[in-house]
Amino acid sequence: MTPRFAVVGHPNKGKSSIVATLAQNDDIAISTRSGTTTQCQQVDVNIGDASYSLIDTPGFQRPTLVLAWLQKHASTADKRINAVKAFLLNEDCQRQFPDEFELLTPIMEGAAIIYVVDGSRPYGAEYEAEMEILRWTGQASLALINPIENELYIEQWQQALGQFFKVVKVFNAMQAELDKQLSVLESFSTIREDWKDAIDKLVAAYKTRASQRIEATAELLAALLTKACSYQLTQKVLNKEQANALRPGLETAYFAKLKSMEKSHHASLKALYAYHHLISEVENLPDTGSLFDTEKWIVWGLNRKQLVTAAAMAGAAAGAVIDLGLAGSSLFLGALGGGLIGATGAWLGADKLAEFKLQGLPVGGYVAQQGPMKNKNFPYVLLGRFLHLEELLQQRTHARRDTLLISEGELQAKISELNDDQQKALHKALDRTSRQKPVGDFASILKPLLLTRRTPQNNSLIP
Amino acid sequence: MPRQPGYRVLTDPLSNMEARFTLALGFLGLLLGIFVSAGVLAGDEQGRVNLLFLLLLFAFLPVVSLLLGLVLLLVKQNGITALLVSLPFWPKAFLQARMSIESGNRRRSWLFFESQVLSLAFAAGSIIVFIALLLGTDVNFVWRSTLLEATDLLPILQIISMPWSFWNDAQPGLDLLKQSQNSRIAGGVSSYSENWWQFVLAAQLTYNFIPRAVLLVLARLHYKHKTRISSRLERDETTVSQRRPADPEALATVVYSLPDAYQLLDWSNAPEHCKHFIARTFGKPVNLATLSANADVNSLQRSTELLSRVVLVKSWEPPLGELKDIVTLMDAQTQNFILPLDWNETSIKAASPAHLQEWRRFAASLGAWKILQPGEHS
Repeated sequence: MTPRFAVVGHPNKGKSSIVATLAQNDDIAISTRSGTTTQCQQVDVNIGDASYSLIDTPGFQRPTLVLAWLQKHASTADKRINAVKAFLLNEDCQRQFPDEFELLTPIMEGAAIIYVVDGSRPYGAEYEAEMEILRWTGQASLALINPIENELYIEQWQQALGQFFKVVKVFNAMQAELDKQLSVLESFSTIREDWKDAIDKLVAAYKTRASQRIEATAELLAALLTKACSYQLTQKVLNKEQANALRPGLETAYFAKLKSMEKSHHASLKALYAYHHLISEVENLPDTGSLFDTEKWIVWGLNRKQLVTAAAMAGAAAGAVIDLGLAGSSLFLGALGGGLIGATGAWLGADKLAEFKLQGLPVGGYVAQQGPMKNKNFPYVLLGRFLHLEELLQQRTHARRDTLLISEGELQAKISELNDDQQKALHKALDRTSRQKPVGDFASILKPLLLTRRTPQNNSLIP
Repeated sequence: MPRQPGYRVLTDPLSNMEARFTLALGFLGLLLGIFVSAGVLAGDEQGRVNLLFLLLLFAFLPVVSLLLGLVLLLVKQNGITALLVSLPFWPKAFLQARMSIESGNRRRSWLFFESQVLSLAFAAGSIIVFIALLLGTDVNFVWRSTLLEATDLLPILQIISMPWSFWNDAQPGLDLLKQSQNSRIAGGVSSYSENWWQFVLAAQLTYNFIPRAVLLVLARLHYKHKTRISSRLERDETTVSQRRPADPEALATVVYSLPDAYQLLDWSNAPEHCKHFIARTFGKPVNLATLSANADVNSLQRSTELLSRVVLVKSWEPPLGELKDIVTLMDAQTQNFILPLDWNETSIKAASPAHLQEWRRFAASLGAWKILQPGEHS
């Protein structure tokens, strides 16, 4: 049996936001205008083999009058459900109370109730009529307190809602993380026992998807780093003069391609997290050339000192392989030498960019070549920007419609959260990438970075 | 808003470069199979082919390399294919494509797939040469051993031939073994020695070609599975039913004072300090009444004919249908206002811009109704 949930409440209390957050999809329209929703909107969510439906309903418009009608048609509690059914069959009621007719229909068809209120505004007695109507339906229900502006009146609401609903939860549609979202669904497995298996399956599917997303994100990041760091643009020319004339255009095209490469991978990341309409703006990098302005790189990548340390670690890790091969008879000079070479190279090459080269062809003429990027910080810059975007997407819910501002990330802080082996592997991999060498299982090396800033609660999602 | 394309697989598993590389590797395997097989099947100066060498090449080595490949896959170590792909003679475009493949977590899967391509092509090359030589020459199969006798060898060959026990002509026999034994001391080769070809072909198919073909299919599926994780995420579809778009907005006028005496109708069950605030700001109402969904509008209006009418509402609560029902019953001859206010236990203020917008839309839908707000000086 597929679980169905009708999200109901007063108009403009965040019903659509809750549907968008639970469905994890920003296709769901959220309007600030009340009363515009006159029809139910069903959202069918399919995750792997599990599925469920969320129904966004119109808000109650005439609860006092509807309750009065129901009370007139049911003198005792055993007649209440039939009174609601009679209400839905009555043509006058359908005409007089279209919103209540619309919202009660899926409930009486078996949908469980998620009742939504705003915890930032005081409780009002006018809500009691609609809560009473919902109680009359006899369906499984829970109440969500959505603190739209603040949390000032949550306690007041909890006291009032506790008298009408078995389960009352605080759920901020704009901030609720996955475990919070799943706890809403899990609550229903105790209220509706016949849905327990389906809900357990659904929760497991959500968790599997979360870990699959991390895997896919790591792959996407590895692909971006590999492609961008190895990218070079070539053009055959007849002579050196022609090459020099071509150089500015080649440079512009090269940097533009790198930018578009990054942009397309960022777009893929957003789509991976089901953000199809999210607009993002990258702060501090408004100009075409600024991504490649070495002074600005520090904002995203590593500063010179951090870069030298990273290069030393990468060099030492590579040198250690030689020591291992010589069974330690090298007195660890491999690691020491590798570290020194790496550090020196990073220090000297910190300001290097992509080079322009001209190579003669055996059959005559030349090949003008722009790139690949030589700067050791370049992969760190791409990494920092990508990780920051991913972190923002993780913290965001699909109910938000504001533009995503990608400001300065803290790459070094993230890297320092890795253990020594992970750090060494990362620096070594990025060093190889910056030298256009393939890195085996790059995605697996990057994956720990995607797990560093998750809370212990969220870490449990990773099998 | 047009939906942007969803997340796509980073590299199509059958992208041109990968397909070309697979083809190149297959061609290499085929050539290797042809040359190695031709070398062994060429035999000695009298055209005699050592059956035991053939078994070593077509049964023993394929099985060992297959098992080794599986072990290497499990222990995540590089094999011959990894060595081959890292050789510098490949074209630049392939080396770049290889970097992309190797950067992801499908590297092992890809290498395993390519190693099956190489091995299957090798097996195919061997079989082609074998069949070609059978067709074009008279291959004499012999076997030589200083230590083994035909009776020693027979049980081993019978075990080897167990998988094709249904194929009688391809079974080894003691007579056949004895007849094809070649001894430089005894000399001579039996005229029946060419009868081994079915046994050799069956061994090639069973221990080399078929297992590699099966593994190739499995490796392809596994590789596809690896590359499709992302597209599987994409398939987690959410279907959203469509809604009618909202009508264009009409907004009521906002005023900050009242023209004359007024009746205050309280729809919001407002606290006392709120009513005091209204009296201070707009003057004391001539009449104050509570307005509810069940209120008798006629009796309310009778008591206050020709007065302006102000309906007090909570600005943060959106206008409901039952309020609309009741205010539309009110006399349109008088001046009617809606007063949305924002209050808590201690303070009162004008409606926020977003809430005000909501109430202005509502008032506009009622006809001649206006919105009343406390002015800047209140």
